[in-house]
Amino acid sequence: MSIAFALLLLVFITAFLIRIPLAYGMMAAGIVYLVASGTDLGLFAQVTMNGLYSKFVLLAVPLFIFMAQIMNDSTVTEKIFHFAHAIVGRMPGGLAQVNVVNSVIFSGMSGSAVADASGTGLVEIKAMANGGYPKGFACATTAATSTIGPIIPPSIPMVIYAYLSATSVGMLFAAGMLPGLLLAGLQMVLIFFLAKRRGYPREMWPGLGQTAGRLLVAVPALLTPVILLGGIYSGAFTPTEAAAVASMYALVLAFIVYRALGWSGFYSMFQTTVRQSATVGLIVGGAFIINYAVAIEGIPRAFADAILSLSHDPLILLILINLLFLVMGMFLDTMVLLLIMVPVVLPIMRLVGIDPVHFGVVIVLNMMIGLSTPPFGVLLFIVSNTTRTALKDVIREIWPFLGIMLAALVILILFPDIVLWVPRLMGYEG
Amino acid sequence: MVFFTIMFASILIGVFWRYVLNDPLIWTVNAAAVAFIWTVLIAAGLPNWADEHIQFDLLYRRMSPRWQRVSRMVGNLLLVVTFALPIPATWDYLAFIAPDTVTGLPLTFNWAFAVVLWFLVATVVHRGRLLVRDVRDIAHERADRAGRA
Repeated sequence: MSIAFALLLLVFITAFLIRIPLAYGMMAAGIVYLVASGTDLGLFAQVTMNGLYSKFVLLAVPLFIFMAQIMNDSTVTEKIFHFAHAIVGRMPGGLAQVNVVNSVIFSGMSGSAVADASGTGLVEIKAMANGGYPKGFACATTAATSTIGPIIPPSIPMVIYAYLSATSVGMLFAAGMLPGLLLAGLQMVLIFFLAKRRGYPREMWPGLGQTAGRLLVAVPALLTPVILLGGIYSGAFTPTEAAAVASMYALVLAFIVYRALGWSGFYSMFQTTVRQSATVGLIVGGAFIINYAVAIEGIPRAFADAILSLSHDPLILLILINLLFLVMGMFLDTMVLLLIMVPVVLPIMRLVGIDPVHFGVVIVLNMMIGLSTPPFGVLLFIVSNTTRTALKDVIREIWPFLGIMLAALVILILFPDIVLWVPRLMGYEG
Repeated sequence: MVFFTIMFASILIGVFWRYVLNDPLIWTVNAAAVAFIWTVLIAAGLPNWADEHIQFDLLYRRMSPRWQRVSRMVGNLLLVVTFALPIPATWDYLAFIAPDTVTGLPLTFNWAFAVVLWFLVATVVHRGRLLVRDVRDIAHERADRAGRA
């Protein structure tokens, strides 16, 4: 490792510890690297600007943020919640089960766990708290169920992984379907047993007529993922175009079909979208300059040599890298982890024959665990802050859900066919 | 928000022209990409946007107010210096790419990428003002202590 790269690490870690926003910390570290290595500083603009300009697939990210924001701000999510309530409310721990199903449906319209936790998640927590559930449990359930969002398509982390790995976004989206449903199923089983043990209530079934009525109201919203994924898999749209068309459809739903969004709401929704898009975009820009330094220094090669000295067994390497991501995910923002670490570890995975689509889905689930793990679990902070619930109450209740997510991760690592079955049906040759 | 709208509209126009009018356009993809860059960097340079960022504050929250200020000052100084350094070279880079035109648009790359200069300068100014504010607070506190003594 050169002195310049050691300085990069020093600045990045210092910036992180003294609360400099991560994107700025990455850029500052990258600039220090360029100075220390005697490289032309014009490279900063060249690398970041060309990186952001040339990756058309990345434009899907702000559009997925936009779509989720429309759904959240236009009460579409409440209609989905009422529909989910009619389907699974009668089960033990009814409202917590509704929480899971609601997140599964919402995940077809949103690619972000944060959008789920901060949007429809608030509806879920409020309903559960009013229904007699401890607030800590309601928050933990919501944090855990919102992790389904980026696993079931569409998915912002998968779009970024696709760009990093040159993998098909469509195949990654297809690969996330079964794992997302598996995770939801495991969460429902856990809630079933917790509800039995703790005596959580069931909800009254509203009757067939009401259920059918709620379904009819929800149908236009339920068509959103059909338009999005249908557009991608039919070959009609690129993922970015599909995201734009689905966002347009969401606008039509919000303004015309449900008449749930006025111009003032539209303005604030737009502002939120731009701010969140800029946050992600800037992190991606910062990662370009770090990745430039990582590539120049030959870090992926050095990392590969180090880790291959431990083992050549694909399964052991996959487990080791997942352990590394789990530990780093406890402290680092998962988007930064994805952007910086995937280019380092992916060559090893390819070398030992791990399928990049399989690896992508495993890593996205791993990242979702990182989002819910203390001390730096962004989802825990969101549900705790927005509902004024003590963080320790949320953390106390999150452990069983983390156990379930780890179990899902182990299953996906051991059985790649669960991930690759749907993509293979669509012609994937992995 | 203007640039986000341009980005969104450009992509939709591209889809509409390709499928409805059966006449694929070249400029829409590039216009969307440029608008994306401007959306990100214009917003990122705005001073009231600072709280939106993802940051690790577990250590910061455990510090005393005095050490929090030291930590803020070190951070802001680091950003002022590191973001000021590439400004001249960025200017040169933009001049270097000035002859190149964005395909399908009456726009040269130096203007398409010029927003990076805004971002660097805005960050230096914003972080510089925060740094000056902390320095002034220290000066006031010292003056108060000297006055009381």
